[in-house]
Amino acid sequence: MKKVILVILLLAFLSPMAGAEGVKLGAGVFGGLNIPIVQQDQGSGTAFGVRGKLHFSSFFGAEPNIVFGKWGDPGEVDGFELGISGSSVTSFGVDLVLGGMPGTVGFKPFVFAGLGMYSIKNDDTDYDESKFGFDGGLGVAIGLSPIIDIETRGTLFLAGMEGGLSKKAVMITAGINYYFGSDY
Amino acid sequence: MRILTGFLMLIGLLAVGLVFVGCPNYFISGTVVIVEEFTFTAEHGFYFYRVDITDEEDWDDYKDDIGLVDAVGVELFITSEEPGDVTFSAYVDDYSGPGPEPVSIPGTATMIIDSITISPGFTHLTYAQSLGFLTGVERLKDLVEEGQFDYYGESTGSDGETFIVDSAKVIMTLSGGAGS
Repeated sequence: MKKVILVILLLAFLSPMAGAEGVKLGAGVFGGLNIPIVQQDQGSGTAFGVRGKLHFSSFFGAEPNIVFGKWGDPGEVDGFELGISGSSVTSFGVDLVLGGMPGTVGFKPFVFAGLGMYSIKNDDTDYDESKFGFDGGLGVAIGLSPIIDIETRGTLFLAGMEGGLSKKAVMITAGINYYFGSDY
Repeated sequence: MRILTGFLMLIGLLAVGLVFVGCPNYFISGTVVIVEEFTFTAEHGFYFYRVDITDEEDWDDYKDDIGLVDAVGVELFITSEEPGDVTFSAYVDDYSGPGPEPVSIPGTATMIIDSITISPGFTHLTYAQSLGFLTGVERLKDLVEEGQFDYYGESTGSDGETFIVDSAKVIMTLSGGAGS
């Protein structure tokens, strides 16, 4: 239920901008792998989410996003079976994007970087931390039509934690984007 | 011009991130799990072990920049030949260093296992289970951060020969900046 409310809030935030001159508005859904980096107590898991797409030009835009992730069970560490579950990772943030060229057909690479609030929680260990972090990466979109892209991207994120440290992971996701309006 | 503006904004965003973070360990930190296995020295229901992980390779990598002890738990294998239930408790205290082993639990020790009941036969208490019943976790985490501490066990209703802690492990999950 909480996830549904968050998605509705995101869409509500984006909808007033749909009519703004020069702003191309879209939305996308995505899912894929969520691979922790240098975290022996976590295994590979999954991530899915939604993002808004506000392109101020063909080459520059912003993407507010919500991601729901779950790392996998760690399994054995040095021959010892921990027997606990992986942590959940929820984030809300905004990425700035260069490239992508919404409203065009064809092969469209892009890079991005952004900030977000990351919440990492593990019910077994009682680890529960919400702090700012940031992310970046690159991807490629393929415009199937002026209003529909499919895309894949790799995202490195660093979620802040106590002591000036971070928990890091790579997400490899695939998704589909839809651009509103008919002026493409 | 718009591309340049976007590029500058991206660079600016990264710069803000760097300033916000303000710590190199943010980028090179990691989380490791260290498992210390031991067998108690047991005598008449009293058990003692000096935990020392300072010679562990992972500990050596992280020791100067441990930012957080994410979790600490234990695993115990116990065999009881007593006719009835036995209660088992465990404590931790500051590392006492080399020397004669203690014969009782000092008043400064912190209880981490509070009188769990062990039925006759073989009992395996897993790490995951221990996360649910450990007490005094903050003291335990502080001691883990030191890398050395004393671990005491105490059983009641047994004489130490028919109630045996076959082996035990302390499982420590640490986050820190490796090699910085």
